[in-house]
Amino acid sequence: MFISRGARVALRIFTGLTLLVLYFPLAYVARLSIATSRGFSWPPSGFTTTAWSDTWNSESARDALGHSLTIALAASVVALVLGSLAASALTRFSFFGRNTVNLMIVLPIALPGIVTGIAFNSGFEQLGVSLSTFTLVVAHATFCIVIVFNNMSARMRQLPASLEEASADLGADQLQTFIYVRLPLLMTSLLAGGLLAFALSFDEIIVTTFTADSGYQTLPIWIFQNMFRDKSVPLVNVMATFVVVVMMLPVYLAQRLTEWASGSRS
Amino acid sequence: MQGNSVAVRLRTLSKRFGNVVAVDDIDLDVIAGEFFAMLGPSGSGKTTMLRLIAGFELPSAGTIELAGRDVSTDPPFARDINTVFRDYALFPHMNVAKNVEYGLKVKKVAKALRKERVEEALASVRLDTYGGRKPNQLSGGQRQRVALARALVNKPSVLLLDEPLGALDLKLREEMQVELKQIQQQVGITFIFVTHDQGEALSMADRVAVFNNGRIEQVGTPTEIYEHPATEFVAGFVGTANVWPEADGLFTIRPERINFGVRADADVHAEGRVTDVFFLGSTTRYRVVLSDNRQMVIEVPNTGSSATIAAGDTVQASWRRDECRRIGSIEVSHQTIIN
Repeated sequence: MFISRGARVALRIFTGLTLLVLYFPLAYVARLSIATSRGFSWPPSGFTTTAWSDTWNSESARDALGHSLTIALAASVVALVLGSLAASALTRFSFFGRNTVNLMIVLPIALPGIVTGIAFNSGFEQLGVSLSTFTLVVAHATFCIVIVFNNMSARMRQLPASLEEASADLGADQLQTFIYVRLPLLMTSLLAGGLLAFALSFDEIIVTTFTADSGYQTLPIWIFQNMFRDKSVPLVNVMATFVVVVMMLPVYLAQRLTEWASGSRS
Repeated sequence: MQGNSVAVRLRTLSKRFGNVVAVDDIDLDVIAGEFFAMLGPSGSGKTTMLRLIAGFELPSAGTIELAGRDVSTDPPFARDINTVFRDYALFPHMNVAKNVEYGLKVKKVAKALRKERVEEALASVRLDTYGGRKPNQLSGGQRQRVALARALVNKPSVLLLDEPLGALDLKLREEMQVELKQIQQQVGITFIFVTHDQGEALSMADRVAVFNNGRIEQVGTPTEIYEHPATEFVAGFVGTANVWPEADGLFTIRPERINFGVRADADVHAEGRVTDVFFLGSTTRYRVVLSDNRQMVIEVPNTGSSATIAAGDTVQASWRRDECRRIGSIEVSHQTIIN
């Protein structure tokens, strides 16, 4: 494609500005977390690790982190199992209502979190289920499944049916075919889906607010509740920085895995 | 060859998909050690037949016997059959050696023996040094040979081949035809070969079954099929045929059995006008309208000495009456079952 010199320069500047707008606030928070100047003041100055050690020693911060990790992990595992099974059924068999089921599985990702949150909240109340870690995992799993499902069905559709037939033809029973052929070929999508689901659950706040018991804090809720308390602001900066790093890792890995898998395909 | 024992016996075999009858009440015996071709246009049921024998589809009716044992409802992994798939179906995450080893591994053959058999199989398809390559690093012809080695290493009693040469270019296809035939003679395994290419079926197979609309039109040696077509469909599908009705049935003669001019031993003579000329390399094919309005195709070898004939020319044509065959006149051509 031909792009004039002027357009090329303009595009570069625009891209640079976009990235700056996206990442400057993140870098700023990271800088603040090790600054001696207090609050969100500009420009940040000095260097200290006090805020980091304070956060490490804050019990509520540590609890919140633990809760978030637990829920993200549990929701991802549930999503991996259910999402893979659903993808398997919907790609392999054609049956009445298949497209409807497909849509219903994917829909939760498009629903506003607040709707999902309210629906779950009143739903659990009607059923007499008290809000707990369990209700959080269930709520998070609904949108985590979508990610796993999409990743897995895309990959499954690419795998020719003849591979499984070849395996059976060569004498492998269903378990052997699953272990030696299907699982290795789906592994990258499974991991990528799991990592993205984990990332999605880890920073979720809207649905969480409606499905967590009062007083139960996940990391995003802890940050939200502490950012307007002057004393806690340094801790919030530290936690925010920490979350950015924790989130980047799975997303980066998921992307690399997907690239690697599509590159190694014949 | 193991005498005349039957390797695959099909009785009243049918397969329906909804309202579509893909395979319609087939009786067929394939003899142990023979190179058997299932020939037919796409949608004629030949691939479904293959999938039924392999066990990827279960019959709607009828039975499949392998070496005398009923396997009609057995899953693919319980049948002593291996398949070379149309798309080869090599496992993309395994290298060539692992692909070939797969069948032995899942059957828990000892590791040392496995290694030996894999090397042997790769050598038999001239890929000894390719064990470490991944399938996507191979050419189409090499993949085809890996697929063959992966199947043959298991020493099945029957090998099924689903249009195995379809994806190869012409030159390679001709080489592989020779190679497949040689390999089949070496290993002595029954080969059942599905193809829509009549040249491939005639040149490679010991016997050919011609499929149409889920049914077998004729089973016989390539010569029988070509010289004595049992139906009009066979006459038209296998090679080119001139077919015309007479009082006691349909008659056919092959284009290369008709001569221009007056041949000494010919007892049928006709006059006609050439309408089209097709130069085919080793032969030239002419469309001729005879004076009785019959359309004829005549094929003449290009020896370099014959006079040029152009569209519009008036020509004499002659042939021998005994070269004309009444369709379906030969009883042996209907024999699908060995007694």
